[in-house]
Amino acid sequence: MTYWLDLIGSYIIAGAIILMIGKLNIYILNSANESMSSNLRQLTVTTSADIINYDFYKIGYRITGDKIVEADEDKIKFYSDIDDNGAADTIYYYTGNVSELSSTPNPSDKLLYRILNNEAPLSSNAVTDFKLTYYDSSNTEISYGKLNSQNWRDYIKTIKIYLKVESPEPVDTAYQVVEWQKKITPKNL
Amino acid sequence: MAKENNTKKFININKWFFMSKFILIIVVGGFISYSIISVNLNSKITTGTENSVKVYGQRQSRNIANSMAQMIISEINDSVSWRITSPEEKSLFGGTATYRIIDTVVAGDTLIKVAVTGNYNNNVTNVMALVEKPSTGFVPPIVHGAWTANGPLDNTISDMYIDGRDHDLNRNYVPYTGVYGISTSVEFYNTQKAEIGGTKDSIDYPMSYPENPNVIEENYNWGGEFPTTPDAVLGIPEGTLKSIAQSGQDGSQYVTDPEDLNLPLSGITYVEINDDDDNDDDDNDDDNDDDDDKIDMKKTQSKGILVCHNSSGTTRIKQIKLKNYPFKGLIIGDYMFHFHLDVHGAIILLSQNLETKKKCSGNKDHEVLYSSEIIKNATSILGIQSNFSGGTNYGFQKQRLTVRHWLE
Repeated sequence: MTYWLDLIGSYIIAGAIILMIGKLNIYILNSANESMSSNLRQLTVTTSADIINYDFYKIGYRITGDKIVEADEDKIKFYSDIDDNGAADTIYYYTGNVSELSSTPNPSDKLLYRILNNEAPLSSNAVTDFKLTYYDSSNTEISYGKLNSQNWRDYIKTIKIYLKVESPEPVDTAYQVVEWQKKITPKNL
Repeated sequence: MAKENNTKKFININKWFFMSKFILIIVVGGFISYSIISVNLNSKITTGTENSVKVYGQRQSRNIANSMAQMIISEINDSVSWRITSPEEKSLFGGTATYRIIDTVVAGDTLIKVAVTGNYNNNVTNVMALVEKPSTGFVPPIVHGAWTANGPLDNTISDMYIDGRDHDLNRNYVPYTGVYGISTSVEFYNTQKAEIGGTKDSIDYPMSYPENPNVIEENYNWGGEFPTTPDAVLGIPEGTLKSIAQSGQDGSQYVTDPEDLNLPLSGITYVEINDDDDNDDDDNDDDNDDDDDKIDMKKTQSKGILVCHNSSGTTRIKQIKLKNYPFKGLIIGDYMFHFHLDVHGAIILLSQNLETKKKCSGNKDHEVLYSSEIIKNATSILGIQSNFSGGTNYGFQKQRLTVRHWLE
């Protein structure tokens, strides 16, 4: 009788341990997926941030006239001699429509476009939010309505960029989120 | 019985073997799980640390590059001719800044290019600033009027057009920043109907005859300190103007006989005629003053600072002529008369004994226009900031030099 009790007991304990190990493995697998997804999102944000940093610090470089010619919540068009060749370049940032990425399960993702001069729009990254906020020399926010006028656009001294990237597919029912935010004060404004 | 015992023994052995396998599975499984978690966690921590270090390094290298560029710009303002053509390195904020300072031409303007590379733990940031050269010219505070004198100007100005309102390099009128038309330490009578304009209290008065009284400053009390030498007019050590003139800098020249002047005039032209010299060969002059000299700049684009002075302040220029072009700059003389030329800048006469008897007519085709910009250009040869204003200060977010473009 004792023998059978020992045997059944050991089976129960062993079964519980096997279940625990199985659950742990599933957890590790999910964690690895999340980690990989998060790393991918971070990579996306880092790439976008690097490009934005490179361009935005150069706004107005070697431009004598109007420097920012369009400024809105999710788009900006400015002039800069971005390649330092003596000729003015136009750079335009804007976000596309969510319908362009309807193939992904994430309903909010859209492409962030960058157009240099008259070249075709380029986009390497999908974002779920791209928001620009504009400030004057006293660090007072300029409302988007005012920015329809070039006079007000000339007051822009600082731009805050907010970038949010989510994974295209949910990981364990939730979308992986990475955010990036920075205030840039281009020296040529 | 023995068989039963053997069976029990076998089962016991089998049980322990079974248990050992489980224990082994648990230990190895646990070890593998821990290893995976540990590697994963370490990888995340390492990535996070690397990101932090990278961001800090990038920010620090950017700080180094920008700060070094700002420091260089400030230094250039103090040492105008400072240039570094081969890259030099300086330690800053725990990293290094490699910099170069050269003159460059951008859109036709000569600018100073300050190129700095900030390096912090192999994070590199390049910054390039294009700044304007320091403006060292200034308007001497003695210039109260387009024509300033320590004596009577009634006869000297003749019937010219005299405008103390400010003008740019191209003769365009610049509002609110002008001076009087005439400023003298004695009484003034516009005896020959000159048209005079000027600025007082930031209000501009166009040229007219009779002139608006606000464009004349007469009986001005200089507190007995009206300068007696051209160097004192500019607030610089005695002998500086003569020394630069003798050096030939920017076409400067020093002569003791106006006939020896090389045209066109530029830089500092110092004409020193001593009392006992008689360089005048115009014996038929109806002014009957053989000791007086003439300066004829003919049809040249002359500019700069023209000084006619000797140590006793008795130089007498009876006529100064220039055709087709204005003289652009500052004329400082002891006694001068017969101004048959246009002057864009200002005139200062030091002598108290200016012309009171003779008259000069036929000057209706000439003008004296005050121009702060032209005076600044003329005095920039001195390579100093104004000694009178206390220099140019700067503060938060302001540069000591004008930055045209900044690339980072």
